[in-house]
Amino acid sequence: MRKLWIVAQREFMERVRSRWFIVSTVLVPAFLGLVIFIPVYFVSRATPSTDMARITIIDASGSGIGARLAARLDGGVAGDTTARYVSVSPTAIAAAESTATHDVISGARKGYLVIGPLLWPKPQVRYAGSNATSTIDMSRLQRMVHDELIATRLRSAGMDPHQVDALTALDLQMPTERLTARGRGGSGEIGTIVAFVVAFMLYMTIFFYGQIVLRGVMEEKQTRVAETVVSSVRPDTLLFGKILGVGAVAGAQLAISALATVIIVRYRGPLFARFHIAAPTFAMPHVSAAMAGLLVLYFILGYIVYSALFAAIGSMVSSEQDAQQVQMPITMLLVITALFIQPVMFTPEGSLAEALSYIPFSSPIIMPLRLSLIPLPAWKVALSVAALVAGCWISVWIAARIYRTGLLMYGKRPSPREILRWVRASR
Amino acid sequence: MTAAVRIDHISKRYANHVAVRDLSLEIPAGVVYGLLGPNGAGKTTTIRMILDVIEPDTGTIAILGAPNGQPGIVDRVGYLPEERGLYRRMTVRRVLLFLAQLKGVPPADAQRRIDAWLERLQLVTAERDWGDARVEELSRGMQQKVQFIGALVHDPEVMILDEPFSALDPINAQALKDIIIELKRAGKTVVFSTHLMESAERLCDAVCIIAQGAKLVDGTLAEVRRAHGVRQVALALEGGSHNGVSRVLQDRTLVSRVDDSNQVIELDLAPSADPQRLLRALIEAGAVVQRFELVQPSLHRVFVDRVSALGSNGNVAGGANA
Repeated sequence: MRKLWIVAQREFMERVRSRWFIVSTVLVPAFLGLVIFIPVYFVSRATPSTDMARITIIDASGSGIGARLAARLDGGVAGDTTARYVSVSPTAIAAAESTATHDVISGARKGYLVIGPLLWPKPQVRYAGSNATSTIDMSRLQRMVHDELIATRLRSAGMDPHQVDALTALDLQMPTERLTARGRGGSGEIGTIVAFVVAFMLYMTIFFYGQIVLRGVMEEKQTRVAETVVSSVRPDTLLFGKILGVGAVAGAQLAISALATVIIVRYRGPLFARFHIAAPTFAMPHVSAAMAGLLVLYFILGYIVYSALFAAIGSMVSSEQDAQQVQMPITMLLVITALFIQPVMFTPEGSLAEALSYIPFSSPIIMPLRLSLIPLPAWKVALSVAALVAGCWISVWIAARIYRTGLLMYGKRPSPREILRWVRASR
Repeated sequence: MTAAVRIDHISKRYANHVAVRDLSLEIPAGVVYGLLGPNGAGKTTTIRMILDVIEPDTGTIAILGAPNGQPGIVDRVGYLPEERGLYRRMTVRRVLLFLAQLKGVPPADAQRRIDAWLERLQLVTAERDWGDARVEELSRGMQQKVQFIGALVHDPEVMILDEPFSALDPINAQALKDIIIELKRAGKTVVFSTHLMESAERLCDAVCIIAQGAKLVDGTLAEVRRAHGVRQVALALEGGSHNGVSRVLQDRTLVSRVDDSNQVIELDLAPSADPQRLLRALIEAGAVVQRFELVQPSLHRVFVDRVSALGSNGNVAGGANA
């Protein structure tokens, strides 16, 4: 135990002292901060979008809806951009469209909106433009057209124009909030984003620190320092000490990042005020102590499963090229799990999500994701953790056997059959 | 007196070859012991088994009277591996502190010893303190010195060195030799493996020759030579050997083998030959004798004879003939 501690301590101290640790620990929160800040900054600067005003409206309905839309779109940020309104007869649509297309291609206009002659029963409205892929702009335009169509219908049904204006002037703000068995859980949308970020961070961290363990083992083997060290400690102790020490580095870095994120989110009001923009008013999802504990547990166990296997690979190979090849199967397990993050996010209760929660290679990433999206019965969590613990044990057991033989073997990369023999053999 | 290392019938078999077969050895405490053998003889495997890095398939090993698997026992052993290396990005002092702590030396104590050793091996000089440099900044020779310190810093009772003189520059080889002698004077046991017979002959009190994983002969240097059963004469002649002398040296009733090294001619006496009769015959043949000395066979000679005999037999059935 004392030797395990010394090995882990060296591992931790040498890495924490190094330049990359300081750089990456500062950079990660800085990056996170920017990710939150930049979109908010630009959104606050860029409404209403000037693009939306620079369009041509070709109205063949004869109802005056085109003129009203143009009036609503006018302005832009500096008030210098206007929507162009063209009222045409149904037969002249094609000609007006080709002129408008020409304007778009030459860059004079952003796009054009065509309103067909019939508004009833099914209005024919189309949009074409260089900004057609901008979902925010398109949904705003669609909402505007929708509102104006309803207003036009109300007028044609004989309603007083003033009354129509009053009734349709509706500024809807609909915050969404997530409800769980424990009560309110913060904004639904934010909850999903946080769940995704958590899963992705777990994936990145396990991958990144697994690689560090692999490099560390390879370094000890290649520099032959392992020869000296294993005369003082058992190979198992060296292996566990390395996993423990690197894991502590990962934990320290994650803790710093988490702390920085919490501080940025909590004090975003005064922080953003310095840049004269309104802070986003989302509510952070509530994370209970039990949930936080589970997250930490899944991270630790997932890290152990993968880092033990990466360590075994580091001990097998003698060159960088071999390492790249041999680690492919393990890397694939992680990458495939990462590919499942999105499907699971959309159907966290599906059978795919369920199955992935009990496989030790995927559960450390998939379960925290599901847990932050939906409430899960305690027995499912317990079963998943139990499967993961068993996976951990098996992975460490196999890794230790490969490691103690591989560490002092040089030369040709061992064949799968030799590896099997190492696993079966005693020391 | 308890043996420093006692090896009892150990064997180690790998997938396609036997590395060590039924090897038994006793290394007395307080001696310099040479483990000799050609490349691939099983020296490194044996050393690794002594250090409990790998486990023998059969047999037991005791260090200082205790089983080598007993906790804390390897802390009393120092080890300098053949393949040497250190953590390249750590500073010299931190590497040494790490190695010392692994052997159970308290940090404060370790710091003091490390400083003393760094100074002694001139890694701390008036111009520069290399102790605070990273290992990768050091020359190869300096790294070797750091490695010695790493093996010695916990003041081991038994020191095991695997091919210590390979790839050492003459200065470091001398420094290491001095350290070995010093350890012996302090009552420590030094075990080293080598295939260089000259360094073994100069340093060892006792040796064991192994080949193909089995012991060929062991004992004190004198015992091993005597057991070899060959009487040798070292001969030097003024003006070299001429025809008359050659005829005498080719007489198989007197001389069984001649190894002419120009300055010195080494002769093996025929089994029942009388050295006096040989000397007389040489003088009668007109030789001007400068040196005529009855000598023990060199370790080199014992080694070559034993190991090559093994090769011609193609097996090691007669391995335990000591």
